[in-house]
Amino acid sequence: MKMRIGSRILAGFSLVLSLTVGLGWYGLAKLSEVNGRTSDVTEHDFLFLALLQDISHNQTQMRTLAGKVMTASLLRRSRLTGGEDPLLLQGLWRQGSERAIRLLDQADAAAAETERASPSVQRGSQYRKMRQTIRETQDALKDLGADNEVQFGLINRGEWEQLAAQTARQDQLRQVFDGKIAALVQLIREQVEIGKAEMASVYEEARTSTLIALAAAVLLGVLSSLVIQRSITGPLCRFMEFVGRVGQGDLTQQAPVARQDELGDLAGSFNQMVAGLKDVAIQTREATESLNAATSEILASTQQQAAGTSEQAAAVQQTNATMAEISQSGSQISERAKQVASAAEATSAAGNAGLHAVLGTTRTMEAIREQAEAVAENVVSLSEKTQSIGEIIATVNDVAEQSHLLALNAAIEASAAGDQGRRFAVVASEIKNLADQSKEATVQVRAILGDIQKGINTSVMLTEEAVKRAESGKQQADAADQAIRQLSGNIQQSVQAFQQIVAGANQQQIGFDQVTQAIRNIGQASEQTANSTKQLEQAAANVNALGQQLRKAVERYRL
Amino acid sequence: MSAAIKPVDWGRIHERMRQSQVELRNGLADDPRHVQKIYRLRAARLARPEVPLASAAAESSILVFLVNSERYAVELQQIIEVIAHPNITFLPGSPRELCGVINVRGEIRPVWDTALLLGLAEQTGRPPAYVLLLRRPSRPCGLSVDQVLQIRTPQPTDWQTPSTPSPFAKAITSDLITLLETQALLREEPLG
Repeated sequence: MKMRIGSRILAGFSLVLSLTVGLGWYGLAKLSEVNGRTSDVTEHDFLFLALLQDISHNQTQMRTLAGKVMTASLLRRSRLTGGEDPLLLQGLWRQGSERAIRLLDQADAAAAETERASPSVQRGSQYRKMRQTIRETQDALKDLGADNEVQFGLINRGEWEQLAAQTARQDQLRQVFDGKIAALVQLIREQVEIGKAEMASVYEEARTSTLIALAAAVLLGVLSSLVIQRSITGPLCRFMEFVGRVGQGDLTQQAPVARQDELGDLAGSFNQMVAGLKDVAIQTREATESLNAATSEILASTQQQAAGTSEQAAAVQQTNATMAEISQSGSQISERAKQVASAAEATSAAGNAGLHAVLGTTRTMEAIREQAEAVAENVVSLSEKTQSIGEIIATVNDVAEQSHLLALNAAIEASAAGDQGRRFAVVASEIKNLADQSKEATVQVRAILGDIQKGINTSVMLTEEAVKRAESGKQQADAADQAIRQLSGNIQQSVQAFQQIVAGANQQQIGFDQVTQAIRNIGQASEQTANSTKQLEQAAANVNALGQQLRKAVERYRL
Repeated sequence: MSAAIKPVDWGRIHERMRQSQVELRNGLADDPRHVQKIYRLRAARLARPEVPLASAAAESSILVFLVNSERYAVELQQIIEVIAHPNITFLPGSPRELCGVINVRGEIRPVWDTALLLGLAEQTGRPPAYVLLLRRPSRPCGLSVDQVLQIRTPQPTDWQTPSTPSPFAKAITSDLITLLETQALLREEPLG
């Protein structure tokens, strides 16, 4: 079949649906017919009945009113109080009469309407009859009305003698009217019976036809579903067969894609799936191969790792021992540093004392310098005084020289004078002696003066030197001061440095503790690593086994 | 400074200073001891026998002087007087050997440069230290000398005749003092 399964099923369902709908529609139609008949009966017949009842009631009222009129007039006539106004009553009676006419018109109209609209011929003719009767009734009413009017006239005029005859006539008319009404009632009742019979027959007809239609629909539905099912399940079974083979592991075959419906599509997709499964199987096979290779590599590496872990444990031991040694030396350093710090404190104190001493020395040097300068001053003034001595000496020397010259000249004169000059020569020689003495004295004084000057120079030089020495002493004292300060500074720095060393050693200690802890952790970690390596080995073996299983699982696929 | 510093003996220094002060005061203030000493010296000198200064051969006394560090001499008889540090006035246009002229007790006398006359050295330009005023036939003239040493009275045995004859050298003593021949020396004076 070329139609797709979905469409087929859809067609089958729509067929069944349409049959059902048709059946339903048919039922509904029949139902409406029945309903029509029923309503026809209930509405019109009962309406008619109600109208007739209304008219009877109305007539009763009117007759009562007519009686009242008579009574009221009689009362009036007898001049007795307590009666109603007869005219008023008459008015009322007229109103009632009009209402009766209207009612009859209504009944006529209703009967006409029913006759027109009646679905049944019989009922239509019946209503025609009724209409006839109604018309007769209307006539009777008219007569009755007229007669009542006459009666009222008689009553109003007080013509009581004619009233009795009229009353008998009225009774007759009333009887006629009543008979008509009764005939109508009867007709209505017959109508109802007719209606009932007709309804029953309609119902029977409907029932049978509906049953037949139902049977036909059921039969059609069953047939079509059978056809559809056959067209679906057959190929489906064949397909299931093919799928079963694939499930067994035969990936070599392909499903026939001859059909163009959903099964054909399914076959196509299934073929794709088979192809995919084939790919997967191939890949899985390849993967298991590589997995096996990898697991064997993992096994090898885990063995290596196990060896490495034992080495690691040995290294951890060594490191632990080394750390303990270092830690010990660290505490020793700390001790030493503390000692050094206290020694540095002492040195610093000594340095301060040294500074004091240097300060004293500097002051002393200053004093010495001042003294030396004073000495130099004195010596210089002394030198200046010797200068005046020198001038005096120069004068004396001059005198000596002059004397010498004088002596010389005297000797020359004496020589020139010859013999007479002999005595003068003595004088001349005396003068010469004196001159020589003076000269000698001046020479001596000169020498001594020279010595004094030399001595003064020496003193000045020595003083200068002393000042220089004092200066240099001061400089050295300053240098010493500097050195001591620097030393103090260095010592302070050293103290700080040692304090830092102590702190560092403490830090180091903490660090070592941490390192020791870390090494312990490493030891634990390496233990764990060893354990996990074993587990890894186990896991690798498991994986290997799984790989083997996988291979076996994939083997069953024929590709 | 490893050597031990000697402590200064201020006591001794003060002592020495005090002593010298005393001496000085004594020396300046006519200490009788000094005065007595001097008187004794003077008496001794007075008592000394007379030195016959000009007794023997006064004519052969010479005056020894220095010219350019060489010792020369002139006969004492020829010298009028010795003048020290004269104020010599230079005459422009005068001969080279003429130092200048001096004023001796109102008289103008020429002064000759002995070194140049002797042909010893160049003109120094320095004013001479001493001037020997010589007795000349015409008028006294001066010879410039550097230094006047002494008056000597050499014995005749002391004299030697110079080996090489020189116009200016009269004789030479044993200790190489050249006795100048003033006549020859001053003959060349144009002023006469």
